[in-house]
Amino acid sequence: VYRSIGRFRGEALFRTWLHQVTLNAARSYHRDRAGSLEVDRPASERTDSPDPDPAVADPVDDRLATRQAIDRALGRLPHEWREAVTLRDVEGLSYREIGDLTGVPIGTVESRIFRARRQLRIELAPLIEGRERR
Amino acid sequence: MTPVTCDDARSLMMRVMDDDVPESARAALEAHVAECAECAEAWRDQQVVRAWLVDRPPAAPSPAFARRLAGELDALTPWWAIVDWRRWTLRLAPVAAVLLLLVGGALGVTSSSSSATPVSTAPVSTALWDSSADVSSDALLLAVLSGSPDDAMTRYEEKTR
Repeated sequence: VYRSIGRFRGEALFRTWLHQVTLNAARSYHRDRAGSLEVDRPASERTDSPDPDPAVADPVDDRLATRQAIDRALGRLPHEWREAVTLRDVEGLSYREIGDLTGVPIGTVESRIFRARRQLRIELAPLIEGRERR
Repeated sequence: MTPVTCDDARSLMMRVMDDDVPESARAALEAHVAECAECAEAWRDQQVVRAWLVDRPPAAPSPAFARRLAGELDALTPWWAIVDWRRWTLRLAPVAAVLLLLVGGALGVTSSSSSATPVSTAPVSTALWDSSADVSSDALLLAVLSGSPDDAMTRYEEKTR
């Protein structure tokens, strides 16, 4: 934002522009570190440790473990899916805003979000089912 | 109510979750998932995962984050920014204000002392007949009203005679 603020012309909402800057920075970061991050890999190739046991006693640890489990699950999604579902469910953007930011039709946005959630449901199964058992 | 296909139902799920459909479309989706176990499961999963993401606990920033960010901002600042006049004028504003007060005070003292001089030392009575005398109008008026213009009038008459 510091580097780009001079290019903000007020033609879009500041919120939209801010998301665009963030999205570009995230894409750039992802591109630069694509070789060192464990993302976009099928579950069969994963080498990281399993998600922590959700039935931990400390609420702070519980929240941290939940956060880390969700972030790890998001990190395993193809980046187009992760981008769409994060902008919708975490950042609260509308389908139209996501379409404008990512340059794809609304139907594609919906499809990516649908698939992302379906995949996340599989990835987060231990966490979700552990919570339901409590 | 028109029955919907599984593809239609999945599209409807997205719009229903976004509150972007009329009540009839919502009813059509509910009717479909009541009949289709696969779509019912997908509908449940979509809602559950969305709830988990919306309620995702916030992440605490790394303790080193502020330091790294400050370092990067410093690195982005060009060397010539040190002579940025806006920075200097803003930072020097208090100094300028103090200097202004000092100069104003000094001028005020000088001005008041120079205006007091004629009252105490000027030959007031001389001014009555000598137009070149440096006496203020107030001092002259005071001298006349006090009834002691020395022998100013006499001298005036002698000089103009």
